[in-house]
Parts: sequence; structure tokens; C-alpha cells
Amino acid sequence: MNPTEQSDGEQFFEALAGRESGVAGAEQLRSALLAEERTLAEAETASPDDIPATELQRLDAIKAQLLASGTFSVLPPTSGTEPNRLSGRGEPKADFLSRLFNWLTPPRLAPFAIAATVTLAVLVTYQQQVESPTGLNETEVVRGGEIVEIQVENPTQTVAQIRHTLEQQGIEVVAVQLNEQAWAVQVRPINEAQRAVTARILSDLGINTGDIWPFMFRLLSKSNTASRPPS
Amino acid sequence: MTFVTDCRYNQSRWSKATTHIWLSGDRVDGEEFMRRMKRQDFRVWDELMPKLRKIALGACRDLNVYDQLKDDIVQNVALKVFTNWQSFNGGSKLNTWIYAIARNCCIDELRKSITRNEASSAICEVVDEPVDGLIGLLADDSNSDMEQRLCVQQVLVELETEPPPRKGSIRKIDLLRWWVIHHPSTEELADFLKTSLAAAKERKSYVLKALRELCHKYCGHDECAMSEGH
Repeated sequence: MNPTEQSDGEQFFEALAGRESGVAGAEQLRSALLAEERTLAEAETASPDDIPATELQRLDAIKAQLLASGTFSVLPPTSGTEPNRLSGRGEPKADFLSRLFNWLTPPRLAPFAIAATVTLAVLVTYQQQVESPTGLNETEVVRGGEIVEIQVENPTQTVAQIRHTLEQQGIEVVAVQLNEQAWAVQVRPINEAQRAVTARILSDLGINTGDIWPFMFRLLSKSNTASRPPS
Repeated sequence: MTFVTDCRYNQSRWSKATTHIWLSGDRVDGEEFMRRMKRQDFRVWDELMPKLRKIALGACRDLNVYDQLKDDIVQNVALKVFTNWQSFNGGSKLNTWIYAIARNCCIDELRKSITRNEASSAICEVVDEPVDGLIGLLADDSNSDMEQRLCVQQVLVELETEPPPRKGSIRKIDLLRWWVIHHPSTEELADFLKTSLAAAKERKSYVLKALRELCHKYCGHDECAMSEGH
């Protein structure tokens, strides 16, 4: 290392420390690192309350898709389902994730479309739920802000029942446990025949889809209304 | 229902992570994150999301990514963190790793903007409370300046990929962070590295040389931001 190199290095590090100016690269690097440091410090105070409801809904949808992709899972596998494949359709995980990225990124309004669909489904379905006679006595539809919420004795058991019945028909079901007492469920029939079957099966369970797909709802435990996740 | 069966993570690579983050009142550090992802514990999503989101939004602000792209970037960061979780190797803190992912997503957007020659519309016109030194850089948002900032960010991305250090050593990126935050003297650096003054000076030159090589790689010309005289 010659004296010129050493002097150049010292000048760079002095600028990087903020004690000198006029070294553009060092100043840009310093700015970038300080900005990162500030962001990480701010993140220490992050709270779930910071996330707006609409954004939370979009993130919940992504979580549901990741669950379906096998990224993480809490339900025991149903018989005949291969690991790392989407239930019902047998789509390889990598393909599914690629499709998911495409679904989420290029059309920037896609998440908004989902949110709008869910919101519309909620409004229509809730209206129909309260007006129509329910199928099973165990279900009870309540207003949960932006999504249909159904109170049942045992949400986990009901989820398993729905999954079992629909997946036997080749219909995709995505279920995410939100907490100990609550589940978010999305059913995704891919054609008219599947939609008719899905509507009939859910109707038998006291759930009216309003014929809007994919249909999403929450199952809450009757025993603990405090378990309701934030809407 | 499906399960992840290909858990290739190597415990020895992350078990030395010594840093921690706090989430929703619970302590979740890099080890905890890996352990719970391996267990397919979905609740880590809910616990990590507030912090992940804040880091992603912060990175958007730090790299001056246009407001309308922020939601997309938060979603991309979430997807990448939870689909590439096995690539977290404990070389850095969990939150620093998340920031690196967010930085990469932002760079992708900025690069697209440069390609489309839409620099002026892809970056924020106003950044509230700019950090030290950033004000001047934001004042001139020419394509050239944006390319230089992009180059610096890409250098940081590459430095972040450096594997965990050997015992008693420190990664270049961590040395740079420490230097910027603590702005020490070379003597203090020698103390920090537990080495001689001459060796500390040598280390600084070595880091600068590596920086310049990386910068040249990304800028693609000799007049890159880190070169002598810049």
C-alpha cells in the first residue's frame, strides 16, 4: 500500500464517518447505511395496529396462498394429498409460487380487486345470510366488519369437515388458523359445476356464498367471542 | 393440505446468530424464526408482519421509491421472506436480512424505472426528515445521480450476501455499519478488531478496494461513485 493509496483510503473513511465532505461515494454509502439504521430502529416499535384493515386483508390473502402452497401449514394432511402440491389441483409448488408472483405483481390492482371481491361478497353474503333460513343450528352468522363470520362450536372440526367434503370433489380449500379460536377459509371452485357443488355443500352447513367466488369467510368459536381477529 | 419436506437449513450456520428482535411482546430472533418456520408454524407470519411491513416501507423511503409501489413492495418482501426463509443463514440479524430483501425489491423497481427512463416519476419528490447527507443527493434527481445511488445500493446488497464471518473476524458490511454509526478513529477501529493500528489501516484499504471493485462492477465504468476523486 503506497502513501497515495493510504491517503485516499483515509479520506474515504473520514467522509464515511461524516468528518469530511467531497467524497461522493463515501457520502452516498454513509447516507444509505444511516437510512437503513434509522429504518431498523423505527421497526422496533412496529405494532399490528399500524397495519390498515384493507392492507391486512390483502396480506391475509397472501398468507392463505402461501399456506396453500405448502410454505407453512397447520392442518394435518388430508388423505391422498401429496406433499409440496396444491390440494385439489396437484400443481407443483414452484409453479404455484411463480403464478402467485405473477398474480400479485404486474397488475398492481390485483390485490385491490381481491379486496373488492371479498368486500362485495361480504356485503351480499351477509345480507343473504341474515335473510335466509340457516341449514344447521350450530352455525350463527354475525357481522364482522368486512367479512362474513360464522360462529360454530368447534372451528377446527368445522374446517376439517368443509375441507374433507369439498376436496373430495376436487375443490380447492385454503384454510388459515388465525388464532386458537378462529380460522379464515377461502374456497376456490374453478368451474361452474364446482361452484354449484360448493354452494350446495356450504349451504347445507348454513353458509350462503351469494354465488361470488372465490368465497371467503371466518369461522369463530362460540365459546370465545374475544378470539375474533381484528377486521 | 401440504407440508414442506425440503428443509435444507443448516443449524450450524445460524445458531451463532446473537442478535434479537422483539415482536408483539415476544422475543423472536433469527434462530426462533428458523425454528418456527421449520415447524411450519404459521403464526410467525402474524408476529413478524408489523415489523416486516415497517422495514419494507422504510426501505421504500430510504431508496426513494414512489408511493404507489409501496404496497407491492411490502407484498413482495413478505413473499420472499416466507418463500426463501431457508436462505437466511445467520450472517446478519433477521431484521437486517429483511431489509436487504426489501432493498433488493426497491432496486428492482428503480432499475425498471431507469430502463423506462422514468427516473423522475419513480422516485419520491419529497422525503420527510431526510437523514444526514441525503438532502443534497435528493436535490438533484438526475438519472446519473439515481444510477449512482442505485450502484451504491447494489454494492450493499452484494456485501450483505457475504457469509457469516470466521470466529474473531467481521464482515465488510458490518465493519462499514459500525464505522458509520460510531464514526471512530483508526485507533478505536484497531481496538474493535483487536489488532494493530497498521493492520486496522490495512483493513480499511482492503474494504475500500473491495467496495471499488463492486462499484465498478455495477456502474460498469471507471467514473463510478466509489472511484478515486469521487
